[in-house]
Amino acid sequence: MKSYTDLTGKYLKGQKKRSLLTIFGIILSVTLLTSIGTIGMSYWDKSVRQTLRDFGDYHVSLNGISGEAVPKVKNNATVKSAGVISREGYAVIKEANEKEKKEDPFAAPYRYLNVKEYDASAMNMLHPQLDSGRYPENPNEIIILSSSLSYFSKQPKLGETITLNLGIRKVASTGEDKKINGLGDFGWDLDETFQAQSQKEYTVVGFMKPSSTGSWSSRYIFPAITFNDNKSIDNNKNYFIYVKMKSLNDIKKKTEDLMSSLQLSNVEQGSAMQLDRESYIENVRIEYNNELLKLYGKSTYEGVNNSLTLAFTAVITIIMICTIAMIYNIFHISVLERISQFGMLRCIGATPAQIRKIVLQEAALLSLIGIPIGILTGTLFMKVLFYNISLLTLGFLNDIRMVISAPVLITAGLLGLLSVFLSAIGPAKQAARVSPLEALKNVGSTKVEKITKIKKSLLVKTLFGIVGQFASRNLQRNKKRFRITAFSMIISIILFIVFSGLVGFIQQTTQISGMQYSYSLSYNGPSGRIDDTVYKHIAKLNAVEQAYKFYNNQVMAIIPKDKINPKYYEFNKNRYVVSEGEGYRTDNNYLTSYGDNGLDALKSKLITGKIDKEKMNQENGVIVQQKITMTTEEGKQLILDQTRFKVGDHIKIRTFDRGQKGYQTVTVVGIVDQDLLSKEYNSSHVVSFITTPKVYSNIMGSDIYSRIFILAKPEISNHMITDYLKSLPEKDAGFNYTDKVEELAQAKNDAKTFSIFFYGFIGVIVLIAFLNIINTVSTNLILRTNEFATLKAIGMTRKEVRKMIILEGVFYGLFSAVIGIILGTALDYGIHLLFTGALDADWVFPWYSIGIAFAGSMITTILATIGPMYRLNKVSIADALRSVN
Amino acid sequence: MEILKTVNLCKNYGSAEAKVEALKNVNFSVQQGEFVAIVGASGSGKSTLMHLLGGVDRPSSGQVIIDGIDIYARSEEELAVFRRRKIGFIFQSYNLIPVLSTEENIKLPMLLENKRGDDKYVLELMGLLGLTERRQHLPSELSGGQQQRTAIGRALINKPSIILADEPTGNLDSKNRKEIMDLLTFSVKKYNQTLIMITHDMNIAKVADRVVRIEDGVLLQPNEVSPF
Repeated sequence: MKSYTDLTGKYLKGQKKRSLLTIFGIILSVTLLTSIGTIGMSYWDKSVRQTLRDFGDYHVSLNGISGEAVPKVKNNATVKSAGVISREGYAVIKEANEKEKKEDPFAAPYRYLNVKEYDASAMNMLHPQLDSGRYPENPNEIIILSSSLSYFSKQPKLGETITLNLGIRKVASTGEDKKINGLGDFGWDLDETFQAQSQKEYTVVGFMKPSSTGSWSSRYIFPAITFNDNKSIDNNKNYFIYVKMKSLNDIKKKTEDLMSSLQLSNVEQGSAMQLDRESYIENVRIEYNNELLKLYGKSTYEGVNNSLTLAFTAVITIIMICTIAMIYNIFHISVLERISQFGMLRCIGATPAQIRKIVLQEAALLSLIGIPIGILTGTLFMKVLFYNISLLTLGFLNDIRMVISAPVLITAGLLGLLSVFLSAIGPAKQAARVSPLEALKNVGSTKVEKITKIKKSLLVKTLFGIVGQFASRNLQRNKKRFRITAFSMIISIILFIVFSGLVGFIQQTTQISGMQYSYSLSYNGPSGRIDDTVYKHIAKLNAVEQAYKFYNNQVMAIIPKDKINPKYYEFNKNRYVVSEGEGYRTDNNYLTSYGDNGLDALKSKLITGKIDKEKMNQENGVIVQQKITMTTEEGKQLILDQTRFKVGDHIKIRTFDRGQKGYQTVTVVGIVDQDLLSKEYNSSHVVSFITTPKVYSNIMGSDIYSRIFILAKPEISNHMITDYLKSLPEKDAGFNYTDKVEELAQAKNDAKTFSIFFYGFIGVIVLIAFLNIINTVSTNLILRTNEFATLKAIGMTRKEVRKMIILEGVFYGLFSAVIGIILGTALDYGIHLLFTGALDADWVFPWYSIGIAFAGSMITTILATIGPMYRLNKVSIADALRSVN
Repeated sequence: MEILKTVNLCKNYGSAEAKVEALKNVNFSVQQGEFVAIVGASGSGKSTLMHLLGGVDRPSSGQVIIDGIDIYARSEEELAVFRRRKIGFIFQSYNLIPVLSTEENIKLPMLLENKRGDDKYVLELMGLLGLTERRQHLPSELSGGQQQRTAIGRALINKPSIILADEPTGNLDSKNRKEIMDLLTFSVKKYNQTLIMITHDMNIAKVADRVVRIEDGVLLQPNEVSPF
């Protein structure tokens, strides 16, 4: 031995088992940190790539900037780079002929290309996805959307030249430019005309992919992109500038400053939509690419940044606390066991500082072994996980690739080291405080704590008898150790409840809220109606389980005063202000019909009443849906009825259209709490009257429906449905369909992937707690070997000893479960509130996770006790007694 | 009346060459109400004998018969019950349960029997032991003498027929030593109990009805005892 510090190594070797346990704890913790860091980085990387693809690689876009201002933006000191886009104009690629107009009087008169010029930076930032070919490199080259090809009279091929007449759209009746409204390119006017302004020749160099969110993209106007060499900025033209800032700090202020330097202050601001937004672009002057900014923690919405940072910090903190609890415990026990040895060292002249150094050096040595292994196992663990993900191609992660990041690994290591240091510092100080006298008092033996105060519990005594009382008192011997051990279990329980809550929460938010259906077909053309032949075609398709015509319109209703739920009235007095007749006139009511088959399906949701279509048709029968869920200003979630209609009540309702019929009386024939296609309560303050198509047309004076909901049979391939739905917009650009099949499947996959991660992490945390309990319980028991021998000697049977030890475990479990469940549930609610800044979902009381946590905690603690118990019961009484006497 | 008897009692530790014979063919009997002192050098096998008599160890061969019952023919569970009813242990280092109060320590064997217990007897016993004032104290709050008196109380509570005491006064000063001995002798007389005690203290041995000596695991009969 060269130095006193060599003692460290000797101690560690001397208690191999404990050293291994500590190393194992460190490894687990660093593994966890590394994995979380790696998964975080990989997910971030994936999100960035996806966001760049879907939203573009820029920070903010300035829309409708005049030509003279373009160089000012580009040369602004805060701007790093800017991509410039301008509209070249529309070009007709197909005009409806007379025959088509005859067949369908509402047919779109034209199909257009919407030609825009991108400069090189814009091309890089927005990088349109190509099916084939390349990007245009000079103003004579163009790329067009591949799905527009079928509308050309002669389909252009790559390298061929097309001649486009570029111009503007005019409304014939007024002679004005067609304004692009909120629906933008989707809408057309039947009297729309096209006014050509120039003719240009382009070489087609590429075909663009339809956007990934295809369902709502226009079949009426197709994008085409040509190149702008920025040599000719036209001062009279408006430009869209996509800007990357030098720094993202205070991006909002910088952008506003930039705008005011252009004498454009107080402009409208918003968040960018996905790239195929097209028409939305003109309404807002500044659009922040918030999806991307969010990923850099610089979203212009503070709530989002805070929520995400807090959640991430919370996870890391919890892992560190768990590790610290475990490692502290191990060090604490190991120091306790060596009190007399430290006393001895003090006797022979070691200073407290030297003793502290010995203990801290132990910690350092163990870290040196544990941390690199932890980083390695964490990385390996992730490799395996990612391999599995790529095998299963799970949901949102299927595009993920593993990012091994040096800063993450280093941070994980440093956090691990910090945990170990924080754990060891307390015990090290304790060891340093040992007085030399201790050595003389307990030579060579471990010290059992001195007990001076014990709480007596009558409850425990009556419940578990003398043995139980014993067990409960034994736990009070070293309260600190008891608390720390229970603490690790408590943390596991808290984590479990919180993570389960998060998983549920994510499932809720990724689930499509509102209506649940496979497909929805809607029509936005000028006629506003879907032809019955379309419905009939869909209804008889093999893969269609059900198809519902959706008639829906807002109606005014007079709500009698005594039918308003007073509780609801308290929160929403302003809804009932216009007196009319015996009640208030309200306008947030809908008259709805899902067709006759919809009423049949609604029967299962009926709370009271009866659905008899004949009778409903005769007496204007309606089914009332009046239950809603709402959040009060204090953030309290309420589920309550807005009105208190009962079967047999009469209600006066009328359409908004004054030219139509006046008030008519409907009769309540039934009550439902949820809508036909919904599995949740209505969250908007709406009273719905669901009825037959006949009653609907009686009241509305119209039998138009513009939407069909389709439920597909899960077992049959859906391509018949999708083929048909795809074919509709090609014939009539007013059709759009939404496909929720993939969305639902995707949402399920996402939730599953999240579960795998979350439960994996909880698993490791529970393992840490489990080891901690085994360690503490076995130490507690071994320190008391002599006591057990005495108990046996005076006649306690083996069974009773076993019972006592197991009860100690049970008490650990009980204590941890109760505290953990209370704290976990509270925290779960807290995190829920925290996240409401970023997402919105209901909080559900976590009964299920509480049950599992309770059972798990009991089983874990009992299991942790059994091992040491058997070891202890094997020790012969005589040997144990002899060791003392 | 013979209450305890050993028949060819042997206890070995280790095996083959490392074998240590701690007790060799011990044949020994004790009458009811007798006070036997066992003396011998350290490592002579006194404690081993005591543990075997008390049923806390297992012999390598031979029998221990108490009240006509071969105790080692019993199961572990039965043996535990037998111990708490028939035998009271007193140890040199008291071995009290640190989480229990004086009164609870004394009552423990009774409570293990699931008996409500004879409170009058408990009070009487504590009075006798001079512990009434200290009944609510934890062992850590008691002096050595008080702790040993508590241990004696625990040994006596179930009125066992045999009390096995392993140097009960070894850790005490002379005043306490005398007190404890007086208590023990008084108690065994009063309840007609048998007391078997290991001791180094010749003054105590002199009080005993009989002194047996162990040397290297062999029990020397009284006539073989060399005069002190």
